[in-house]
Amino acid sequence: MKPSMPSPATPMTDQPLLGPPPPVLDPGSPAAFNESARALADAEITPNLAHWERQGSVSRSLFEAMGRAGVFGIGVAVEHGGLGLDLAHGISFVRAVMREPAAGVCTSLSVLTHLVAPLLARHGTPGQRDRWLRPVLAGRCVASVALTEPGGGSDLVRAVATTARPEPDGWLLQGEKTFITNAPLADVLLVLARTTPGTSALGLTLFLVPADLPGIVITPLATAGLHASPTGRVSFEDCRLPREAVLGRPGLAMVLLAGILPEERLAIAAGALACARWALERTARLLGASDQAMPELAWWDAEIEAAETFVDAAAERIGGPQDQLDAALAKTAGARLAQRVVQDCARLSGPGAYRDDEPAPAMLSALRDVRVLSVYGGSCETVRDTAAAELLRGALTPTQGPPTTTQATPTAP
Amino acid sequence: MPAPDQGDGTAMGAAVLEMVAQGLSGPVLDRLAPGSLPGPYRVSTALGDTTTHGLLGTRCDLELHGRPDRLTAWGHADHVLGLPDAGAVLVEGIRRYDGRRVLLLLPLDTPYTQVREQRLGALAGARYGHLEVTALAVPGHALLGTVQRHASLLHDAVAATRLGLARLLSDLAQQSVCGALAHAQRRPFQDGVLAGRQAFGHAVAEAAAAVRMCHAVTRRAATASGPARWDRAVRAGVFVARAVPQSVGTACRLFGGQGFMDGHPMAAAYREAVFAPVLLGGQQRLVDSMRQRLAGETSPPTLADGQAPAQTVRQAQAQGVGRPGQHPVPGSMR
Repeated sequence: MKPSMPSPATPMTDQPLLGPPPPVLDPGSPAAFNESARALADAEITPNLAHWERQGSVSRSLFEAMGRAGVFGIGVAVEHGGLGLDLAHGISFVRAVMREPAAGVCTSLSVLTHLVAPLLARHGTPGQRDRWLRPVLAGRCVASVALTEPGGGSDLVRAVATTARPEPDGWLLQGEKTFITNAPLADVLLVLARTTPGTSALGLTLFLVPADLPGIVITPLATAGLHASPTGRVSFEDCRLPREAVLGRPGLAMVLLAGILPEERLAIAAGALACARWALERTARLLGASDQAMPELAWWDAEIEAAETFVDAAAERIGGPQDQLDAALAKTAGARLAQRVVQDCARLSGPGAYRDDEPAPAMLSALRDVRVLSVYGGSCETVRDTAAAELLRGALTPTQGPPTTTQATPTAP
Repeated sequence: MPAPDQGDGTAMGAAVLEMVAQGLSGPVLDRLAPGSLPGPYRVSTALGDTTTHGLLGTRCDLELHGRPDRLTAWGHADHVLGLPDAGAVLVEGIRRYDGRRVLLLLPLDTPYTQVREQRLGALAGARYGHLEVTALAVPGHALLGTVQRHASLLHDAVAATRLGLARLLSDLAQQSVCGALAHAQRRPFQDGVLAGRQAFGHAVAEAAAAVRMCHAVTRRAATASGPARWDRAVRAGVFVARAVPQSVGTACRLFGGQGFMDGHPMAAAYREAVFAPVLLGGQQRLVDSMRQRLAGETSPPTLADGQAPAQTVRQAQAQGVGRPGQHPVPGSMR
């Protein structure tokens, strides 16, 4: 059963108007892509942002507009109907959207651009690509990724209690997922379920589950931030899936996710830093050039720039031997820096930062939204565990170049 | 170029000396006074703060008095790297009769120039000095031209040196973090080793992220050119100057008490790292640059004598408030 979403009167800005055709992404050159991404955000997102925040959800028309513009195909190969661009372009799009405090919109879109579409393109069968990837790319199909459960969080491997039992003609799905982005609007859910009893990472499988399947109940959740991003809880009660619902191979879900996770984490880091930059620029304009806080703002600016540059460098190295480590470090550093900068900008901005009656999303939205950026994509603490493990593994590799002390020092950091 | 050595403070000093000779004194002298000197290692450089924005911590306050054909130099320079071992010094001074800043190559073995060593407690392999110039007659051949005329050369050299020093310091931080990591894998702690503790892992991950940011921002700055590069080099330098002491400080803390013992590589690294803000400077420039953009001014990042190429002015106008020096590098997705 699909939940009934609130349906307030659609604002004029949400309707296609007569005039120039809506912009589409231009993959011709980095500069052209940047410009088209900004134009797209200005035309399709910014005018509707306040409405979506009040409504508590983006509308389906957003996905349709983004699909027409080619957004969901940024990281998908041309032969599968995408634009065949690299992660740097995906990050560029995130930055274009986040020139306003639009973390909710960005989150909803990123689920498709950085998770669902690349996973389907890389691991889907021809049939799955025909059924799901094409409509996702066109913006006709909204997708969710259902990983988190009520009894767990970033400790996915041990925490997954949702099961998919093999049946003669397919699988029987049973369990519950929560904090699922886009769930209230979803047409298809990518569900992580345990297919082998125990706690092994190789006992988990990803399933493509149509959201209108009997046995599925989706309940919208009210969250403290990301108001434009519809979030929900999904329960599966004796939900029967065909054999071909498996994405990739049974038992290999974590391998698939590990391959895509660095990209998602870098996109989150880029979004978090863009949120911090928006807050910084707004605060700097508010305070003026002669304000005593200018040295502090200038330093944050340098910090954000360094972190952005690291994200860019890590994006260029994606697929390399240290991409897990780079992404983990960038995600934790970016999210924590963003949280600190946004909070301090709000402090410097005074009571006006906490106004809830601004005509457009402002500092309060950024303040609410930035909190969750250190949670999703793996909480900062869990991701730092991953980074520490990677660093220790790297520390055991032979030193490159001559040692500079009496003891050979490794080169991992 | 020698790598900075945690165990021997003199190696870092030597590396800095060489970086300054190859990045700053060498290129400038090669262009302005080719073949007139035994080599850049015997020449110190003391440029003004508006040219270097605090690079190396050097301060130079020199004036040229008198008629154009009979100039005499008066003034002093502080914290001049390598001065006690130099035979000449490349300095910047103000010519009083026309108010222009000029470059001079002054000998140090005269009764009118006095050098006094200054001890700064870091870079054991390099010596700093104070220069006092009193009524030194400046012959025409010692004048190498105005700062304005050679602005591009000077700022390219300053940016290259700043980025080179930033790389050295980033490498020092990387070695320190690696050193702490290696130590923690051997160090027994309760029922395991120190490296197995979550708190240790988180701290080392944070330090490693800062080190990688230092390397990334330094590399990115080096890919730019012209005024964008000068500005980016300052900004990268300021970031590295803060991040390196923090990372090395973390590594030192994780290493434990042994790392605070005098003569230990960790202690030496810490001593050099806290000197990073002095070596790289740029703090004030960072603030001024942001203030200028907020005020809608279009002065370029580091050009001398207030002369801005039209291109720089256009770039400054085009960039948003609070986004200084972020002109896209060709091929960049920024």
